[in-house]
Formats: sequence, C-alpha cells, structure tokens
Amino acid sequence: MLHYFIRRMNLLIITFLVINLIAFLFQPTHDANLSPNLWLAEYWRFVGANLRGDLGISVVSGKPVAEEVLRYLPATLELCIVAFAISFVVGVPIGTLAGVYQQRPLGKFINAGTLITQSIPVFWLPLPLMMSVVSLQGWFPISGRYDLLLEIPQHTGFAMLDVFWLPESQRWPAMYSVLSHIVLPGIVLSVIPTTELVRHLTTSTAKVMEQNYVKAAATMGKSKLSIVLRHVLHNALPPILPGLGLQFGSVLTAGMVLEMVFAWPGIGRWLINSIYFEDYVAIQGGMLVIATLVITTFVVTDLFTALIHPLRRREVYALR
Amino acid sequence: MNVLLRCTVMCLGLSLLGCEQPQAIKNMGLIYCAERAPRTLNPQVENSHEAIALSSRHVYNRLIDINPITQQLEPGLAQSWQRSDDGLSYTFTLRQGVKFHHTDYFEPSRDLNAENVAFSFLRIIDESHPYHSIGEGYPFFETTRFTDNVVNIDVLNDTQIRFDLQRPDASFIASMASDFAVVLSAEYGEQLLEELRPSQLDFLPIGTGPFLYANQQDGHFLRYYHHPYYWQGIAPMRQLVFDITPSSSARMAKLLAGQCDIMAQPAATQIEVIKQREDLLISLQAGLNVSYLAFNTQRPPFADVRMRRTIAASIDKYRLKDAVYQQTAQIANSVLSPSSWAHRNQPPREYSADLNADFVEQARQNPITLWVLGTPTSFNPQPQRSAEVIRNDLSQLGFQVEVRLLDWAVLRTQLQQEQPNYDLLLIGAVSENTDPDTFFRQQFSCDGIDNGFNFSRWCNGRFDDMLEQASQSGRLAERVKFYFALQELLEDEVPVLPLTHAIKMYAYNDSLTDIGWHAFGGISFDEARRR
Repeated sequence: MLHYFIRRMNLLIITFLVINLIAFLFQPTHDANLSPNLWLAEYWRFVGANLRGDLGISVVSGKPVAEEVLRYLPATLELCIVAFAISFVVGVPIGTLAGVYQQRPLGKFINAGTLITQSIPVFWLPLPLMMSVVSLQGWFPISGRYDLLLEIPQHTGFAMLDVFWLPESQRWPAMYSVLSHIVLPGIVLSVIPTTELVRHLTTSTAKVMEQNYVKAAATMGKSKLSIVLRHVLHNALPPILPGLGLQFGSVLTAGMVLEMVFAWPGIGRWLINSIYFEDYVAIQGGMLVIATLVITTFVVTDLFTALIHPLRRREVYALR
Repeated sequence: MNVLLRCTVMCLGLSLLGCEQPQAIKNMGLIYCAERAPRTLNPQVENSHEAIALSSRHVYNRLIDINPITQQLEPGLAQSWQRSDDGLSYTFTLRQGVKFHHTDYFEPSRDLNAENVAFSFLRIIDESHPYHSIGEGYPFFETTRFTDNVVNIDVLNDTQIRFDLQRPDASFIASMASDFAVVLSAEYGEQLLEELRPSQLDFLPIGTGPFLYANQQDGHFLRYYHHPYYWQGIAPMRQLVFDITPSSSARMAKLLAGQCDIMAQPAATQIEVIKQREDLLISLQAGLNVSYLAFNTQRPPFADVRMRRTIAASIDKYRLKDAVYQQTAQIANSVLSPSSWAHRNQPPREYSADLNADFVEQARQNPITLWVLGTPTSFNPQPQRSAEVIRNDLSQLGFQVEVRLLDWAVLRTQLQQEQPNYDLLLIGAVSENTDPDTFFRQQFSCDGIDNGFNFSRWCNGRFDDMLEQASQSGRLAERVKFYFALQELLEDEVPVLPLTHAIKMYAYNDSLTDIGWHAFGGISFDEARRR
C-alpha cells in the first residue's frame, strides 16, 4: 500500500510541475532569452509562489487572484457535488436495473437512453429545459445561486452551509431559495456522471450477476431484490468508483460552461469574464487551481479505492 | 429496499421545491432586471437616460422635480426658486433637515445645505474645482449649454444659493429638473480628497435619495437599501436590487419565473406572452424619443428639397411600424413627441411626389447610400430590419440603395469629418428634459453640424433665429408659438423625415403597486410596495 501511495504521490507532484511549466511558459511577461540558470530560478520561484497560494493580482479587480478563486470556486464545487449526488440517486438504481435485465427490453431501453444522453451536448440541454414548462410555469429559477434579495454571508463559500449564519427567521427561506436554484443546473450537470455511472454499473452488475455466488444465492431461495442489494451492488459498485473520480474533471469543465447559461456565479463565469477582459494573471491562476484540483481529485479517488477495495479481495467479500 | 425509499423521498423533496417562491423573501424588496451595468453611479458624468436609470432617481435628489402626471415642475430639494426680472439669475431656497446617506464608507455630520449644491454644480462648470477633471466630462450639461451659460454660483447663506447666467435661458430650470442635475455631498467629497481617492465619488455614491448604496458584484447585480432618514419618508421596499441581464430572452424568462419583478423594454414579440399571463402587467409611457430618416442636405441629391419631399412621400411608415415595432411605437408626424408641451398637433403632412420629374430621374442614376446606426436603441430596437424596409420602399421607385450598418463609435468619428459620405441616415434622438430647446438645438441648429448631432447637416438662418428668440422668452405661450413655427418649418423643409415614437414599456409583476413612472427619465421606487 505504501508503495502504491508513494507512486501516486510522485505522479501528483510531477503533473503539478508540468502544469506549472506550461503556465510559466505562457506567461505574457515571460522572457524567452533568459539564461538556463536564471530561467530555472525563475521557474522555481514561480512554483514556490503558487504553492504558497500567491497567484498574483488580478488586473481587473485589483484583488489577489487566490482570494477571487476562493470566492468563486466553492459555488462551482457545490454545483458539482450536487450533480454527483443526483447522479448517484438516479444512476445507481437505473444502472443496476439495466445490469440485472441486460438482455431484456428494459435493459435495452436503458441502454438506448444512455446513448442518447451521452450524445447530447450538455450546454445545449438547458435551453429546451428553460424554454419548456419549467420556466414558463415558474417552477424553478433559471439563473443565479439564490434569490438576489438574500444576502448570504460568505463563510465557507458553500451557500447550503452559509445559510446557517443567517438570522433564524431567514434561514429556512434562504435554504429553500438555495436548493430551488440549484435544481436545474444540478440536474443538467448530473447528466454526464449519471450516464457514465449507468454505463459502467450496467457492465459491472451484469458481470457480477454471472458469478457463482449469485447463482448460489438464488438457489438458496433468496428473492431477487435481496440478492441485488446484498450481494450484487456490494461487488459491482466499488470497481467503478475510480472511473467516477475521473469524471470529476469533465463535470467540472462542463459545470464551468453551464455557469454561463445559468448565470451561476462560479469559477467558470469568472474565468470567462477574465478572458473577456484579457486578465492574463487571473486566467493563469484559475487554470492552475482547476488543473491542480482535478489531478488531486483523481489521485485521491485512486488511493481511496485502493484502500477500500483491493481487487484481489473481491471474492473474500462475497464469501462473507 | 432503503435505496428505493430514499429515492422516493428525494424525488418528493425536489418536486416540493417547485412550489411558489416563499413570500418571506419576496417581501424583502424588489428586483429589477436591467440590460447593462452602469459605468458609474453618478448621473452628472453620464450621457443617456439608459445609463442613469440605475442611479439617479434612487440614490439622489434634484433641486426641482417634475410631477410625473401633470409634468409640472414641483419643489425637490429646493423649497422654492425665483427668477430675476432680467432672467439672468435664479435663487433657490433649500429645504431643511434633509439627511445624507449613512454607509460603512461615509458618516455624514451635517444635513443638506447650500454648500452641497454649490459643490455639485461647481464641479461641472468650474475648471479649478478639485473634482472637475475627474471623469470624462459632463455630456448632458455640455449639450444643454449649461457649462457655457452658468457663469457663477453663489452661496448666499446656509439655505440659499444663486445661479448667475450669461444670457436668459428658458430651458435652465428644465435642465435643473432633469435626472442629470443631482446633488452630491460636499463633506463626502472632502473626505475622499483627504483619503486621496477622489475617483470613488462617482462609484461609491452618497446622496439624499430614497435608497443608499449597499454593494454590487460587477456585471451581476447592484444592491441598494432604503434610506432610513429619507426626507420624504422611508421607502416601503427595504431593498432594491438590479439584476444585470443583458439578454432580452433571459430577462423575459426571469420575469416569467418570478426572479425579477420588473423589466424594461420587452421586445415586440414578447408582448403576447406577457399578455397571456394574469400575474404580469405592462406599463406604457409615451416615449420622448423619435426615430427619423435624416437627409444629407449638404450634397446632391438631397440638397434639393423637392427630392427630400419625394422620398418623404414614398416611405410607408405604417409598414415600417408593422415590421419592426408592432404595438411598441406610434407613427411620428412631428419630430417632437406628442407628450411634449411644445408638440404641434396637426394631421400628418401629405407630400406629393412626381416620380417622372427630371431630378428624380437623375437621382436614379447613382446609388443612394443609407447609413444606419446598427446598435439597437430605445427608439429603434431593430435597426437593420428598419433599413431593409426603407430600402425596399425606395427600390420599388427605381432607386438603388446601399445599406451600411455602423456602430455608434464609428458613426461618431465619421460624423465629425468635414464631409461625411452618406445620403440618408437612419437614426433618432431622445429628449433629455422637458424643454424642447436642447433637442432642437442639437438636432437642427447650424452649431449642431460641428457638434456632429445635426444629422441632416441642415443649416437655416430663420430656424436659428427663431430658436434663439424662443429660448430667451420667459413666457410659455410665446415660446409654444415659436416651437410650433419651428415644427412647421421643419415640415416644409424636410431635413429629416420623422418615422416613429417608440413607446416606453415596462413589464412587471402585478403584486407591485405605486411605482413612479416618469416620462422624462426612468422609474422610481420610493413609494413602491408589494400587495
């Protein structure tokens, strides 16, 4: 395990250095004619500053970029977390069903559905949603993070937690406002991980369904439901977790695009505005933070999966 | 089993969220969906009503107000005012006990007095004023000749202040009542100078108005709180939030979803949707604007008045209205809007056209260049389409028309050239105050050619004389007569062909009442409340 941990950490550090190198080379003030020694010293200073959280000062707002990133990133993360939560709630039952009934009409139907959702560009999806009954009936707000009349103080940056700093009389209306605002973007964004989850879970469940211990359980007279819940899911879910960790990257980037559509005040909107204003310092800082975040999530999920689910112990779990 | 159960509970929870927005939040204030974020929050340095709609009537007061219904002048921060017999000085007596905003960046120690008024207006006219050169000039005051004409501002005592003019100007009072002539805090100005941050004056505003600045997020929203010591009584709405939403369809969606309470200028195609909704209302205001087709009178073929009349006879204003505005505009018979007091209410002038005349034949030989201000404005939401309609009308008569779309910045530079290269210009104008003087002077006087606002480049000695006489006359009845004569002259000479007056429209939620609609300037929310 330690060996594995060290290898993953190495990967993390090297990728971080490469990302920094790219950012360093593309700096607008970067001088290509530096002598190699000076160049290396400059590069190390750049990496050191980034590690300390000193990402420079935004040209447009005049505030430290790190401060700005911290202000906007939680909104994006909140959206991503909600999307993942929705994808679990929706994807696990659907994926399991598709796996259990793989060769039946239901399984084929779900399969066709995943294919369709997979091919829909995620930034297009909000438009029909907005134009349809949802917005015309005023069921859900279509933009923003909460009602503008609310002033939720920024402590953690996660609005769902920050509402608890409000006076009691406002707390629950505010929570309600936050939740209802996140519904539409959350659902749209959850399409990506849900599709992925359903696809992987279908294969994984179908594989487990063919195992001998499942057949044995069936001959013992257990109901299909209890077999699926007790034996199949336990063994089908863990192998697909690292795949979901990888999804974090694509969910985050899709989330950043969706932020423009839903006027979500997160890092994506902030970055795109920085591009409009040609705020290179902010673009570079934002890019570094996001890239670092994505690779860190990837490595952490990897380690986590290795911790809870060493592949070779699969049979041991089933026998328990 | 518990997975299924959890699923069901979550789904139910989500669908419950879809109920009405809780009233508790709605009662906290009002949200206005605005098109764009203002550049500054100080109307003195801004140039259009659109730019100050988010600040002037909320943060500030003026010395004189205009009653939105009768359009009569009424006391604002000035309790009364007096014009000297020679018309060369005006003395204002100020109201007492008017409080400035208390915010976290400024704590006023004194009430409004004459010093504040002097500070505010000296900034505009006095080049030695510490704030004069901050910002990029005072467009409204420059075009109304306020900067040239006001020579001196004297503080007589705490509550009295006198403005001295170089020559009598009947439009002076109207300028003072416009949304641009706001009163700032002198004490705040001093504080900022001490802190070496004078430019903050235009961005973190302090005024005496019904709302005070709370916070904003650039390009996202702008928030005001009500001013607890407002001299006309505290505003019922605790918060006033401007939600900046540039896309018109997004504003509409927000209005339908209840995320906005009010939006300005819904598109003609959106009006049907609004009408179908029982909870939405539309407010109509005769707009003080005009869109017109200007003839370049300094070069052939339109230097010839007969040619101008021919074109005027052959353009179908009704078709233009149907194609572009539908119900959002009325046909213009005069350049002045019907709600102006100087509007000459006459049946539309019928021009006759002899399409076989020599001069028409000659004009057909060369293509006619039609320039169009390409950006949508309050008087023309779809300039390109309007241009197509006009081109269609003209090409049916055998003229070749070349349409060129220009944005405002390009057009400005082109117009300042010696001989701009257009025959027709599709453009318009918005009146900035109740007095027609500014409007006529800008658009049709000989001086207007150099300023680049006289789009027809038409210069007529008789017109300029009458305009001067009208502005120096103190009697309204006499002035009305002059303006009628001016409009008649314009109809004869046709330097421009007035097309439409766009109607100012707001769509809003029917739970709101007592919104102040102002024909000149924007809307006010100091009395707005929710049912």
